[in-house]
Amino acid sequence: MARTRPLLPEWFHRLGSPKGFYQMTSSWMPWLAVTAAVLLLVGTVWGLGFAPQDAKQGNSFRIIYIHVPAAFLALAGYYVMAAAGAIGLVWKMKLAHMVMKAAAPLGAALTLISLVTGSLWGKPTWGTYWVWDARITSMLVLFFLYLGVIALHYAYTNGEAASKASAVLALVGTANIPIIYKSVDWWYTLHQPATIKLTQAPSMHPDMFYPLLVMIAGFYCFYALVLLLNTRSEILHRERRTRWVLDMAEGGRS
Amino acid sequence: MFQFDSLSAFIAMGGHGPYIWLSYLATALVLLWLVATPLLRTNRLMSALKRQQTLQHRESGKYQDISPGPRTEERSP
Repeated sequence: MARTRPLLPEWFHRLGSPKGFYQMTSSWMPWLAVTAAVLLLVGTVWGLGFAPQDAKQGNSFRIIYIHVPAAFLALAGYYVMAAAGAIGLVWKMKLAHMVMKAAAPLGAALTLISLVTGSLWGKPTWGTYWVWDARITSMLVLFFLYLGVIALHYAYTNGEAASKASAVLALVGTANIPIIYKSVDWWYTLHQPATIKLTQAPSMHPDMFYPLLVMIAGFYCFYALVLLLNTRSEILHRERRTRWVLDMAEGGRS
Repeated sequence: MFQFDSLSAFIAMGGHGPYIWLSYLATALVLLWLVATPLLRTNRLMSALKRQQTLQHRESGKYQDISPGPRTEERSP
């Protein structure tokens, strides 16, 4: 008889247990932090000082180097949060609930960045800080969805009920994401159409485009870093009565 | 190549300076806040757990340590 092989590799099970996840990700943190810091620094200096200015908008277009990456991650982060919520609901996986909780304030902050920088970009470009157009309004709805998920976590004293309720809200809110993506095509809007499309060459000069790519990569690394930081903090809080956390507290930092 | 002739031109950004610098400053503050919150929260938890354990060890020590040892340094009248 053939020996039964495990269905899933060992690291997958380690990922599923909060303790295993915590220990596995410990060695990733310094690498992620350094990569994110270097990419963001290089991208910022490149975008602010070395990219050529836009023919129509002048220097105000340099806000793109934070506005677009922040908006990108605000949207991608919503998928992360909703997917983690769904996994938590279906497989009752504790770690997935923790990831969902970790993704909410991060996504809210990135949405806020894209709204604020968009508004500061709008003033010199469109002559106004704010318009109630489709793209901007649907981004504001995204911000409130994130806030709703955060609020639901505080509304319940029972942690499991809180996770379930916020997972359902996160999943329902997913309907907003395609609306945001398509808003610039479906409705008349001041907002310019997407700069980067997967199916076409970018509508930007390479000298302007490369620093944007660096910034997007930097924001991705930053997102991963903070998502892990939040999740790891949440793991320690939920497992604070277990031996391994107490031992770690006594043995110093890790 | 650096796009500006002087530092003052770089800061002015052709009149768009305030908008650009405010955007980058606000973003930097939010990103720092995002990194700092989980680190501070974890630190607070870990030092609370450590304090709690030290207290527990001392408590259990009171009942176990029956020999008249030098355990009087705890409180002075």
